[in-house]
Amino acid sequence: MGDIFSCCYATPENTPTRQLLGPGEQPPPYHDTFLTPAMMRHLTLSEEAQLRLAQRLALIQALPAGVYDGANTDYKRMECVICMTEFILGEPIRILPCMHFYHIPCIDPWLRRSFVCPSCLAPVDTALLSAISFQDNQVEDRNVEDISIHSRNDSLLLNTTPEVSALPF
Amino acid sequence: MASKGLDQGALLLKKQLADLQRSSVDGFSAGLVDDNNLFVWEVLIVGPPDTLYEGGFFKAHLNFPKEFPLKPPKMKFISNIWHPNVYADGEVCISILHEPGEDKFGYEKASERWSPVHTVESVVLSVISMLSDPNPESAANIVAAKEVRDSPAEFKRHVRKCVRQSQDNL
Repeated sequence: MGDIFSCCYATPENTPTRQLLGPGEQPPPYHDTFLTPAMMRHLTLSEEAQLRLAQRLALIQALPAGVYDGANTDYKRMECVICMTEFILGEPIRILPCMHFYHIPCIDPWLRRSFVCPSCLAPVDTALLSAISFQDNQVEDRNVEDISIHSRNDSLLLNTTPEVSALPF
Repeated sequence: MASKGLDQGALLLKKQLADLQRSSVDGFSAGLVDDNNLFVWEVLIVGPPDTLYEGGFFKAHLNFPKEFPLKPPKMKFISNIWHPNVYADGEVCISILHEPGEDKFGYEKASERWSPVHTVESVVLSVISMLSDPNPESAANIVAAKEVRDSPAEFKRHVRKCVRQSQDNL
Protein backbone atom coordinates (compact mmCIF):
# COMPACT_ATOMS: atom_id res chain seq x y z
CA MET A 1 0.00 0.00 0.00
CA GLY A 2 2.75 2.42 0.97
CA ASP A 3 4.57 1.71 -2.27
CA ILE A 4 1.51 2.45 -4.36
CA PHE A 5 0.99 5.80 -2.69
CA SER A 6 4.58 6.92 -2.98
CA CYS A 7 4.26 5.99 -6.64
CA CYS A 8 1.15 8.11 -6.99
CA TYR A 9 2.99 11.13 -5.68
CA ALA A 10 5.99 10.68 -7.94
CA THR A 11 7.00 13.95 -9.60
CA PRO A 12 9.08 14.46 -12.72
CA GLU A 13 12.00 15.35 -10.41
CA ASN A 14 12.07 12.12 -8.45
CA THR A 15 10.91 9.78 -11.21
CA PRO A 16 13.75 8.28 -13.24
CA THR A 17 13.03 8.76 -16.93
CA ARG A 18 14.51 7.11 -19.97
CA GLN A 19 16.42 10.28 -20.85
CA LEU A 20 18.44 9.95 -17.64
CA LEU A 21 19.53 6.38 -18.36
CA GLY A 22 22.80 5.55 -20.01
CA PRO A 23 22.87 3.73 -23.35
CA GLY A 24 21.75 0.12 -23.00
CA GLU A 25 20.64 0.65 -19.41
CA GLN A 26 17.26 -0.71 -18.44
CA PRO A 27 14.92 1.37 -16.29
CA PRO A 28 14.12 -0.08 -12.87
CA PRO A 29 11.30 -2.62 -13.22
CA TYR A 30 9.34 -0.99 -10.37
CA HIS A 31 8.36 2.08 -12.37
CA ASP A 32 7.66 0.10 -15.51
CA THR A 33 5.18 -1.91 -13.51
CA PHE A 34 3.37 0.88 -11.75
CA LEU A 35 3.46 4.02 -13.90
CA THR A 36 1.30 2.94 -16.80
CA PRO A 37 0.04 5.79 -19.02
CA ALA A 38 -3.40 5.42 -17.41
CA MET A 39 -1.89 5.94 -13.97
CA MET A 40 0.18 8.89 -15.17
CA ARG A 41 -3.07 10.55 -16.17
CA HIS A 42 -4.48 9.99 -12.73
CA LEU A 43 -1.46 11.66 -11.13
CA THR A 44 -2.77 14.99 -12.35
CA LEU A 45 -6.24 14.48 -10.86
CA SER A 46 -7.30 16.52 -7.87
CA GLU A 47 -8.12 14.71 -4.65
CA GLU A 48 -11.81 15.20 -5.32
CA ALA A 49 -11.49 13.78 -8.82
CA GLN A 50 -9.54 10.79 -7.48
CA LEU A 51 -12.32 10.13 -4.99
CA ARG A 52 -14.94 10.34 -7.72
CA LEU A 53 -12.92 7.97 -9.88
CA ALA A 54 -12.62 5.52 -6.98
CA GLN A 55 -16.38 5.70 -6.44
CA ARG A 56 -16.98 5.19 -10.14
CA LEU A 57 -14.68 2.15 -10.21
CA ALA A 58 -16.55 0.67 -7.24
CA LEU A 59 -19.87 1.28 -8.99
CA ILE A 60 -18.65 -0.39 -12.18
CA GLN A 61 -17.52 -3.41 -10.17
CA ALA A 62 -20.96 -3.50 -8.53
CA LEU A 63 -22.71 -3.91 -11.87
CA PRO A 64 -23.78 -7.45 -12.63
CA ALA A 65 -21.39 -9.49 -14.72
CA GLY A 66 -21.65 -12.95 -16.18
CA VAL A 67 -20.57 -15.07 -19.09
CA TYR A 68 -22.25 -15.14 -22.46
CA ASP A 69 -24.37 -18.28 -22.55
CA GLY A 70 -25.89 -17.89 -25.99
CA ALA A 71 -29.41 -17.64 -24.58
CA ASN A 72 -30.35 -15.04 -27.19
CA THR A 73 -28.83 -16.70 -30.24
CA ASP A 74 -31.94 -18.59 -31.35
CA TYR A 75 -33.00 -15.90 -33.75
CA LYS A 76 -29.79 -14.10 -34.59
CA ARG A 77 -26.11 -13.94 -33.89
CA MET A 78 -25.34 -11.43 -31.16
CA GLU A 79 -22.41 -9.07 -31.37
CA CYS A 80 -20.90 -6.65 -28.89
CA VAL A 81 -21.79 -3.32 -30.48
CA ILE A 82 -18.62 -1.68 -29.17
CA CYS A 83 -16.07 -3.99 -30.83
CA MET A 84 -18.56 -5.31 -33.44
CA THR A 85 -17.39 -8.85 -32.75
CA GLU A 86 -19.75 -11.73 -32.13
CA PHE A 87 -20.00 -12.99 -28.59
CA ILE A 88 -18.39 -16.37 -28.03
CA LEU A 89 -19.87 -18.79 -25.49
CA GLY A 90 -18.27 -18.28 -22.10
CA GLU A 91 -16.94 -14.76 -22.78
CA PRO A 92 -17.20 -12.45 -19.75
CA ILE A 93 -19.91 -9.83 -20.19
CA ARG A 94 -21.27 -6.98 -18.12
CA ILE A 95 -25.00 -6.32 -17.95
CA LEU A 96 -26.18 -2.74 -17.47
CA PRO A 97 -29.42 -1.88 -15.63
CA CYS A 98 -31.07 -1.20 -19.03
CA MET A 99 -30.31 -4.85 -19.88
CA HIS A 100 -27.83 -4.00 -22.65
CA PHE A 101 -24.69 -6.06 -22.31
CA TYR A 102 -21.15 -5.85 -23.65
CA HIS A 103 -17.77 -7.55 -23.31
CA ILE A 104 -16.28 -6.49 -19.97
CA PRO A 105 -13.01 -5.24 -21.58
CA CYS A 106 -15.11 -3.18 -24.03
CA ILE A 107 -17.58 -1.57 -21.62
CA ASP A 108 -15.54 -0.96 -18.46
CA PRO A 109 -13.12 1.59 -19.99
CA TRP A 110 -16.12 3.45 -21.44
CA LEU A 111 -17.95 3.53 -18.10
CA ARG A 112 -14.87 5.10 -16.51
CA ARG A 113 -15.29 7.98 -18.98
CA SER A 114 -19.05 8.21 -19.15
CA PHE A 115 -21.58 6.48 -16.96
CA VAL A 116 -24.22 5.95 -19.65
CA CYS A 117 -25.16 2.94 -21.73
CA PRO A 118 -23.51 3.35 -25.16
CA SER A 119 -26.60 1.97 -26.91
CA CYS A 120 -29.55 3.71 -25.25
CA LEU A 121 -27.61 6.43 -23.39
CA ALA A 122 -29.51 5.61 -20.20
CA PRO A 123 -27.55 6.91 -17.20
CA VAL A 124 -26.25 3.86 -15.36
CA ASP A 125 -26.07 5.41 -11.91
CA THR A 126 -29.64 6.72 -11.87
CA ALA A 127 -30.92 3.24 -12.57
CA LEU A 128 -28.67 1.86 -9.85
CA LEU A 129 -29.83 4.47 -7.35
CA SER A 130 -33.48 3.89 -8.03
CA ALA A 131 -32.88 0.18 -7.61
CA ILE A 132 -31.26 0.84 -4.24
CA SER A 133 -34.08 3.17 -3.20
CA PHE A 134 -36.57 0.53 -4.24
CA GLN A 135 -34.83 -1.98 -2.04
CA ASP A 136 -34.71 0.43 0.90
CA ASN A 137 -38.38 1.09 0.38
CA GLN A 138 -39.17 -2.56 0.72
CA VAL A 139 -37.08 -3.01 3.83
CA GLU A 140 -38.11 0.01 5.88
CA ASP A 141 -40.90 1.77 4.05
CA ARG A 142 -39.00 5.05 4.15
CA ASN A 143 -40.71 8.17 2.93
CA VAL A 144 -39.78 9.63 -0.44
CA GLU A 145 -37.81 12.51 1.03
CA ASP A 146 -35.50 10.16 2.92
CA ILE A 147 -34.80 8.18 -0.19
CA SER A 148 -33.86 11.20 -2.26
CA ILE A 149 -31.43 12.35 0.43
CA HIS A 150 -29.99 8.88 0.50
CA SER A 151 -29.65 8.84 -3.30
CA ARG A 152 -27.68 12.05 -3.36
CA ASN A 153 -25.16 10.83 -0.84
CA ASP A 154 -22.32 9.21 -2.75
CA SER A 155 -20.56 7.82 0.29
CA LEU A 156 -23.72 6.05 1.42
CA LEU A 157 -24.01 4.67 -2.05
CA LEU A 158 -20.50 3.23 -1.85
CA ASN A 159 -21.36 1.55 1.43
CA THR A 160 -24.27 -0.20 -0.17
CA THR A 161 -22.35 -1.77 -3.04
CA PRO A 162 -22.49 -5.33 -1.67
CA GLU A 163 -26.28 -5.12 -1.77
CA VAL A 164 -26.19 -3.67 -5.24
CA SER A 165 -24.33 -6.63 -6.66
CA ALA A 166 -27.01 -8.92 -5.31
CA LEU A 167 -29.82 -7.06 -7.04
CA PRO A 168 -31.75 -9.09 -9.60
CA PHE A 169 -31.44 -6.93 -12.73
CA MET B 1 -2.50 -1.54 -22.29
CA ALA B 2 -1.98 1.36 -24.67
CA SER B 3 -0.95 -0.89 -27.53
CA LYS B 4 -3.91 -3.13 -26.79
CA GLY B 5 -6.24 -0.13 -27.16
CA LEU B 6 -4.57 0.77 -30.43
CA ASP B 7 -5.10 -2.78 -31.71
CA GLN B 8 -8.75 -2.68 -30.71
CA GLY B 9 -9.31 0.63 -32.51
CA ALA B 10 -7.45 -0.54 -35.62
CA LEU B 11 -9.35 -3.82 -35.67
CA LEU B 12 -12.68 -2.03 -35.40
CA LEU B 13 -11.79 0.44 -38.16
CA LYS B 14 -10.63 -2.42 -40.39
CA LYS B 15 -13.97 -4.13 -39.86
CA GLN B 16 -15.91 -0.96 -40.67
CA LEU B 17 -13.85 -0.40 -43.81
CA ALA B 18 -14.57 -3.96 -44.97
CA ASP B 19 -18.28 -3.50 -44.22
CA LEU B 20 -18.45 -0.26 -46.20
CA GLN B 21 -16.57 -1.77 -49.12
CA ARG B 22 -18.86 -4.80 -49.17
CA SER B 23 -22.10 -2.85 -49.09
CA SER B 24 -21.89 0.82 -49.93
CA VAL B 25 -24.18 3.32 -48.27
CA ASP B 26 -26.18 5.87 -50.26
CA GLY B 27 -24.87 9.38 -50.05
CA PHE B 28 -21.14 8.86 -49.51
CA SER B 29 -18.11 6.75 -50.25
CA ALA B 30 -15.25 6.12 -47.85
CA GLY B 31 -11.69 4.85 -47.92
CA LEU B 32 -8.29 5.30 -46.32
CA VAL B 33 -6.03 8.23 -47.18
CA ASP B 34 -3.02 5.93 -46.82
CA ASP B 35 -3.54 2.16 -47.04
CA ASN B 36 -1.10 1.66 -44.16
CA ASN B 37 -2.93 3.92 -41.74
CA LEU B 38 -6.37 2.87 -40.57
CA PHE B 39 -6.75 6.00 -38.44
CA VAL B 40 -7.10 8.55 -41.27
CA TRP B 41 -10.03 8.21 -43.65
CA GLU B 42 -11.22 10.18 -46.63
CA VAL B 43 -14.94 10.38 -47.39
CA LEU B 44 -16.70 11.86 -50.39
CA ILE B 45 -20.12 13.17 -49.47
CA VAL B 46 -22.77 13.68 -52.13
CA GLY B 47 -24.76 16.86 -51.50
CA PRO B 48 -28.16 15.63 -50.27
CA PRO B 49 -30.98 15.93 -52.85
CA ASP B 50 -33.55 18.70 -52.37
CA THR B 51 -31.10 20.81 -50.38
CA LEU B 52 -28.89 23.76 -51.35
CA TYR B 53 -25.97 21.32 -51.39
CA GLU B 54 -27.53 19.11 -54.09
CA GLY B 55 -25.12 18.35 -56.91
CA GLY B 56 -22.02 18.95 -54.80
CA PHE B 57 -19.30 16.41 -53.99
CA PHE B 58 -17.59 17.31 -50.76
CA LYS B 59 -14.35 15.69 -49.64
CA ALA B 60 -13.66 15.33 -45.92
CA HIS B 61 -11.07 13.65 -43.71
CA LEU B 62 -11.80 11.69 -40.56
CA ASN B 63 -9.00 11.54 -38.01
CA PHE B 64 -9.42 8.82 -35.40
CA PRO B 65 -7.67 9.11 -32.03
CA LYS B 66 -5.69 6.13 -30.75
CA GLU B 67 -8.36 5.75 -28.02
CA PHE B 68 -11.07 5.08 -30.64
CA PRO B 69 -13.87 4.03 -30.05
CA LEU B 70 -13.73 5.52 -26.55
CA LYS B 71 -13.03 8.94 -28.07
CA PRO B 72 -14.69 10.38 -31.19
CA PRO B 73 -12.90 11.11 -34.48
CA LYS B 74 -12.45 14.64 -35.77
CA MET B 75 -13.99 15.42 -39.11
CA LYS B 76 -12.70 18.13 -41.41
CA PHE B 77 -13.93 19.13 -44.84
CA ILE B 78 -11.13 19.40 -47.38
CA SER B 79 -13.49 20.85 -49.95
CA ASN B 80 -14.59 24.40 -49.41
CA ILE B 81 -18.02 24.31 -47.79
CA TRP B 82 -20.27 27.09 -46.50
CA HIS B 83 -22.34 25.91 -43.56
CA PRO B 84 -23.22 27.29 -40.08
CA ASN B 85 -21.80 24.22 -38.34
CA VAL B 86 -18.49 24.02 -40.20
CA TYR B 87 -15.53 26.16 -39.10
CA ALA B 88 -13.55 28.22 -41.58
CA ASP B 89 -10.81 25.55 -41.56
CA GLY B 90 -13.37 22.87 -42.48
CA GLU B 91 -13.73 21.28 -39.06
CA VAL B 92 -17.22 19.93 -38.44
CA CYS B 93 -18.94 20.90 -35.20
CA ILE B 94 -21.74 18.49 -34.36
CA SER B 95 -22.72 17.13 -30.98
CA ILE B 96 -22.13 13.44 -31.70
CA LEU B 97 -18.45 14.26 -32.29
CA HIS B 98 -18.21 15.80 -28.81
CA GLU B 99 -16.96 13.67 -25.96
CA PRO B 100 -19.27 13.33 -23.01
CA GLY B 101 -17.95 15.31 -20.05
CA GLU B 102 -15.43 13.56 -17.86
CA ASP B 103 -17.58 14.12 -14.80
CA LYS B 104 -21.20 14.04 -15.67
CA PHE B 105 -22.73 11.18 -13.71
CA GLY B 106 -25.52 11.12 -16.24
CA TYR B 107 -27.08 14.44 -15.27
CA GLU B 108 -25.72 16.42 -18.18
CA LYS B 109 -27.67 15.82 -21.35
CA ALA B 110 -25.86 12.84 -22.84
CA SER B 111 -28.12 12.23 -25.79
CA GLU B 112 -26.53 12.96 -29.13
CA ARG B 113 -23.03 13.00 -27.65
CA TRP B 114 -20.32 10.58 -28.72
CA SER B 115 -20.83 6.96 -27.81
CA PRO B 116 -18.57 4.01 -28.72
CA VAL B 117 -21.33 2.42 -30.79
CA HIS B 118 -21.02 5.16 -33.41
CA THR B 119 -19.35 4.13 -36.64
CA VAL B 120 -17.92 5.87 -39.68
CA GLU B 121 -21.29 5.30 -41.28
CA SER B 122 -23.33 6.81 -38.44
CA VAL B 123 -20.99 9.80 -38.20
CA VAL B 124 -21.10 10.56 -41.93
CA LEU B 125 -24.86 10.07 -42.04
CA SER B 126 -25.18 12.59 -39.20
CA VAL B 127 -23.06 15.05 -41.14
CA ILE B 128 -25.25 14.54 -44.21
CA SER B 129 -28.31 15.27 -42.10
CA MET B 130 -26.53 18.33 -40.73
CA LEU B 131 -26.16 19.56 -44.34
CA SER B 132 -29.91 19.20 -44.84
CA ASP B 133 -30.74 20.75 -41.52
CA PRO B 134 -28.26 23.41 -40.32
CA ASN B 135 -28.32 24.31 -36.65
CA PRO B 136 -27.64 28.07 -36.42
CA GLU B 137 -28.03 27.90 -32.61
CA SER B 138 -24.57 26.40 -32.12
CA ALA B 139 -22.73 28.08 -34.93
CA ALA B 140 -19.15 27.41 -35.96
CA ASN B 141 -19.39 29.82 -38.90
CA ILE B 142 -21.16 32.85 -37.43
CA VAL B 143 -21.51 34.69 -40.74
CA ALA B 144 -23.18 31.67 -42.33
CA ALA B 145 -25.47 31.26 -39.30
CA LYS B 146 -26.52 34.92 -39.54
CA GLU B 147 -27.19 34.52 -43.25
CA VAL B 148 -29.46 31.52 -42.64
CA ARG B 149 -31.51 33.67 -40.29
CA ASP B 150 -31.39 37.11 -41.89
CA SER B 151 -30.49 36.78 -45.57
CA PRO B 152 -31.28 33.34 -46.99
CA ALA B 153 -30.63 34.54 -50.55
CA GLU B 154 -27.06 35.45 -49.63
CA PHE B 155 -26.62 32.10 -47.87
CA LYS B 156 -27.87 30.27 -50.94
CA ARG B 157 -25.45 32.19 -53.18
CA HIS B 158 -22.50 31.22 -50.97
CA VAL B 159 -23.53 27.55 -50.84
CA ARG B 160 -24.13 27.27 -54.58
CA LYS B 161 -20.70 28.74 -55.18
CA CYS B 162 -19.18 25.94 -53.06
CA VAL B 163 -21.24 23.35 -54.94
CA ARG B 164 -19.91 24.58 -58.31
CA GLN B 165 -16.38 24.67 -56.92
CA SER B 166 -16.70 21.09 -55.66
CA GLN B 167 -17.85 19.96 -59.12
CA ASP B 168 -14.87 21.64 -60.77
CA ASN B 169 -12.44 20.00 -58.34
CA LEU B 170 -13.68 16.46 -58.93
